[in-house]
Amino acid sequence: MTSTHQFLRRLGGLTLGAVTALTVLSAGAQAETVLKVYTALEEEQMPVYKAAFEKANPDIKIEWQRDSTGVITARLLAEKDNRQADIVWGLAATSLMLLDKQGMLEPYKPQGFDQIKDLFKDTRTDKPTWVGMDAWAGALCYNTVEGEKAGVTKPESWADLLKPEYKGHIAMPNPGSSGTGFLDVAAWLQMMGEKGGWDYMDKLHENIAAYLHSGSKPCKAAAAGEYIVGISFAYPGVQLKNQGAPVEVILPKEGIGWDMEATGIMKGTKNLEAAKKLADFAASADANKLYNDSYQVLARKDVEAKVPENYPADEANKLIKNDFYWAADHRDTILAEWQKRYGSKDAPK
Amino acid sequence: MAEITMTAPRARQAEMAEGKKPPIIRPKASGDDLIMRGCLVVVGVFFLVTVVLPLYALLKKSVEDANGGFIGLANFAAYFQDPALTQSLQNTVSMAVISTILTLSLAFGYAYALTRSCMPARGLFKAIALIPLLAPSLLPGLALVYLFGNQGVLKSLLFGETIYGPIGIIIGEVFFAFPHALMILVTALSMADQRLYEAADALRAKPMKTFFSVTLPGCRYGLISAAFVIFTLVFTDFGVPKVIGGEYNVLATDVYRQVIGQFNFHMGAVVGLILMLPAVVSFFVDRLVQRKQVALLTARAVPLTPKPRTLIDGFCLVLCLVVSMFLLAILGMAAFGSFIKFWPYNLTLTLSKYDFGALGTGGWGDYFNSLRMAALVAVIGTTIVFVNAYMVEKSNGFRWGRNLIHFFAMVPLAVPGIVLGLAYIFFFNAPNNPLNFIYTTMTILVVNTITHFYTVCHLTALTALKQVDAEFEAVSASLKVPFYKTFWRVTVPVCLPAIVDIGIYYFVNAMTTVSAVIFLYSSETKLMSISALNTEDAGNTAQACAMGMTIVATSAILRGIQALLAKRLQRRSQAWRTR
Amino acid sequence: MAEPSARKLYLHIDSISKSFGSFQALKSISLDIYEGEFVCFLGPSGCGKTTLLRAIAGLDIQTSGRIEQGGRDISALPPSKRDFGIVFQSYALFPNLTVAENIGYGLVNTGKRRAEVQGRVTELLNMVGLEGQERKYPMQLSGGQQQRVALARAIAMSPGLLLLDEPLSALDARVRLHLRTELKHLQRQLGITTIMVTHDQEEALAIADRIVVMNHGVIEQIGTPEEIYRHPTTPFVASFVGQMNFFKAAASDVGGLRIGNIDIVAPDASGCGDGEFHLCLRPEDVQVRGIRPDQGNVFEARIEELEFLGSFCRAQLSALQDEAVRFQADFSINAMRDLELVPGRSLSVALPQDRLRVFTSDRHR
Repeated sequence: MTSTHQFLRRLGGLTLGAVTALTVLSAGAQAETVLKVYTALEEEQMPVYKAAFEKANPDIKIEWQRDSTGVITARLLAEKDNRQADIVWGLAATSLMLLDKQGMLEPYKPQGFDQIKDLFKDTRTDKPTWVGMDAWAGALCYNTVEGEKAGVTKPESWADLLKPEYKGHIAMPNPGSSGTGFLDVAAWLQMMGEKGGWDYMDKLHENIAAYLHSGSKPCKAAAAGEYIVGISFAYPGVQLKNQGAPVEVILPKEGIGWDMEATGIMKGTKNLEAAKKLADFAASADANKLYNDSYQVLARKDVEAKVPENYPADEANKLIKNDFYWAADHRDTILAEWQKRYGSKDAPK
Repeated sequence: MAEITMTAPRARQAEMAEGKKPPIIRPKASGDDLIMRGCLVVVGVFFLVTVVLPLYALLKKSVEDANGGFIGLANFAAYFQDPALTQSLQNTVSMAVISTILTLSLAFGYAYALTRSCMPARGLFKAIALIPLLAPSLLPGLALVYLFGNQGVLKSLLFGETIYGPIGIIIGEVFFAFPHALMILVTALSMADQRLYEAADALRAKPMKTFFSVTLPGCRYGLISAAFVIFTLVFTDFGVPKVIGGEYNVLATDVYRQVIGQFNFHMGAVVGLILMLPAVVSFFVDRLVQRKQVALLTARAVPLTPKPRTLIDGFCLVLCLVVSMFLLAILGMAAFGSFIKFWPYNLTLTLSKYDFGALGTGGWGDYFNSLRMAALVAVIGTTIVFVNAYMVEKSNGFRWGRNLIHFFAMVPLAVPGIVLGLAYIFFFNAPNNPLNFIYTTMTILVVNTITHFYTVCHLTALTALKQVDAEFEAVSASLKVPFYKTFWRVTVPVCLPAIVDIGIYYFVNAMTTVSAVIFLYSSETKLMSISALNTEDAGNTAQACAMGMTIVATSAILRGIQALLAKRLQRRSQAWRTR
Repeated sequence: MAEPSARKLYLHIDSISKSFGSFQALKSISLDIYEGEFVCFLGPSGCGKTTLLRAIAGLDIQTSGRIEQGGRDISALPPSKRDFGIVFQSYALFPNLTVAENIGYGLVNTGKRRAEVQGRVTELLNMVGLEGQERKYPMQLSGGQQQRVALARAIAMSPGLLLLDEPLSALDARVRLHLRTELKHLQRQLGITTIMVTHDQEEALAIADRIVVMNHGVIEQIGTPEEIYRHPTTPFVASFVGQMNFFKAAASDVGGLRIGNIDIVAPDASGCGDGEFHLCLRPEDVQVRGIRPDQGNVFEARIEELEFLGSFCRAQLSALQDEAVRFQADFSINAMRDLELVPGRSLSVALPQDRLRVFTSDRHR
């Protein structure tokens, strides 16, 4: 009864929202520039960012297109010869580097560039094509309820995962389908060295229950009790925990691979001035404060990052010294090797 | 006048005497013929733009290197050296074969029960069996996790096996392919000649003998054609293996891995083309088989009316109960999941997951986009399909053109959605394509969806048109009535039930389509089926279920309205059908 | 029957051939049809009769050859540019239109006023005997009634030529008999040139002014029903139309013919030369009463079987002289009674010379 009532109230709110949206839309029709933004940020983050930017730049309207990192990157590349996006706001830096390799990005140094930490910008050039916003790192999601039931303890490190007790309880993203999966593989190879990394994965492979096709999926599956440990990244785990899932988000103590959300202007955009304004905003302290709602490690030096609710602390110190260029250059060979070693596993063990 | 009639033959005789062959008569085309040919040309251009050129663009990608240079079959060679290929191929084939055998057996039993038994509630069972058509592919995947996953309510049924992998894929594919197989088999089994059974009875044949010597041979073409449809569907399906397949790789997920994971379009195109091969082969075999079907049923056949047989009817009822329970359980689990606060740890019921606006984005707007797209696809698609099928079936002359267009209409069946989507992005977003302005608009979604589901609609329309008297056009011509008037006044009303069926089929599929449009939508034209996928991706499984259920409910309501209208329609505008 | 040449030529068909791929459905057909005539195309299925009809209608235009209708060359014209009404075997009635709408279908399109169309439809309904049925749908009518609607629709536009493609074959035997008489009356009344395709020789004999017998894409014979029946010019016509006894015969020493070991005198046998012949005689022409001693071709035969066919009996006979000579004879019920014919009985039979027809065997297809 109550829930029905609630639903009706929400429905009312919805209608109101729709009317407001319509009004805003018709008002927005007067805005001079429509900026087409491609993003892989979470569905619920973008409206907030958009509102903040449009408030600061009333003459620019953002029209955004969101999809998962893989899909949006594939789409940007497929649209290479006839670009639809004006700017990318919130896509993995590794993806932006791919676009950059294809010469698809417009170099631009946003205002406050000197306030961006070195890790978050391309220090090799004076004409950066992308600028970082925040970092997201690999993490483990551990289901406390199922762990207790099965007598599997909470892992604290990558090394823990090799213990026999985890056999058949770990899910991990397939690096061939998922950026997160690749990020983990690249991190292990950098941390443990080429040989050590592959040795580690050989042993880990024995304990893996399934390689899944998306980066957030292992954590979600762990939260739903399908597996006990999911190798994933922090954000979905935190979200699920906020929704009431019995998960712990763990940052393994050896260090974690990471990537960052970044912004880059598409070369050839017809709205270069507006795109630059957005790039400025994306690098601003105000924007960084917004990012802090979801992420702990920010690009700006001058914004004091607080730890978001339920977020594991101390993420910044655990980030490995990630060589993005090395990872990008060796991507194909790493994936081919991975595919050869583990790709043809025909059924989950 | 007399002179003319006299001289002409003489002249001809003279010609013949000189050993000349009589001149070939070149039939003069009537106004009707010209209009029909014009229509065929227009449709031909439509297919050129929506099927041929996009697939050509894809084909081109498969023989190019990363910089667009021609490298022949090097990509294919590289792909065939991938150790995962043999595994994927083997997996794909074995999944397709097992799913085909299972689906075919179940669907045959079910179709037999619907058409040949006297068990109660046949209408209801038929309605239930068509439910999977209404559901986006995401839904059964999620439901299977709820049911058979490690926390699943029915996990014990798997005896320790995991649902992630072949078992899950097979269950999911059977769920999906079942209604397709059922529709074909119901048609095949209802076209039976009572006289054959009377003859078998008179010969005192045992029921088993009758079944194997009359029933099975009578619908063998239906069985073969259903087998190919299922095989093609399972072979190319991407939704089920992605959600529930774990790392059990199949070719369709290989495309996904190449394109979404590694941004390797050239390799994606290669796998896409490989994926099309078996479908193309099965298509030609199917054509061959269909050709033999024609003379099966004579006009004098007496339709079969089943007689009650306690044992067999009872068995049929049990089978139908079990199968429909399975279908309902999957749907019911998804519905249940959409009302749950947090599976499996907080089973409080809530309606909050249906508040799609709560996350702040598209919300119900996506739903209305879906509705708009589905309505446009249903109306425009049905019009194109029916007019085209009419031209192919009823026009005179221009044979090669008609055959070619028929072939084009059959091609989409062999093209998996993600391959079609890729082909569209390459073709329609090329800077030198004058049509590139439709990229990211509603138009391209509508065109893509019409093309994607074209073949089944085309076949339905052809079947309906073949049942219409072949001489209507001849009669109209003799009465000096242009064909389009007869088309509008007679052919369309007579085929109305089939036309409505096509429209609904288009609508339902447009509501659930994902893989073909994922590269083509824009922020303005985001669809609910895509939203559901992204929502699930972001971890909101329950909300994804809710979105899926909204789609199911919409399609179900539409089907309900159709059933009601069909009844009234039959009473009114189809009064002529009743004696 | 009036002398054909005295009547006005209406349809002139000149060396029509039609091929479907490598199959030749019509081989150089030539034919003249006169105004007001009722012509039947008769032949077994696959003989090309329907193909010829469809060529005349323009529905399947011939590969080569010329067709003139009323002096106009229509060889290459599409159906809509020709002048004919047509009734198909299926009737092709529009199922969703009423009887009146079906009949008035072409009239409405000519831009006639509603009342005018209605008047004409009523007139046509009266003509075919379907008064008061105008609001019914075809499915609500019997087969015979549907056939009448199709006929009324075909003549509604007063075409110069009426084409009927096996219009009676889908009907019950009784209805068929009844309708064919009506059809003939209607045709007479309207004076419309009519071509009907049929495989039923009895129907053709009963209804046609002239019959065109076709087989394997060629015309075997053209003639009045009586000519076709009495004087078949080819063995095919002889066997296809009516019942016919075929005797295998050879030239005899005495200049006549021999059937088995029976000497036969036949009128047109002289000059046939040596070789095999076929002698034809209709069962009803086998003479058993009033045989003159001098008339020849008389021999004794035994009744093997008798088949009662209502108004007459058909007997299987074999010659006593040569049991291999077997044939049929029709006896009236009167003759049966008078001669006390029962199986096993022998009697004298005569094969009348003026009824015998001789065909050389190599012409027998």
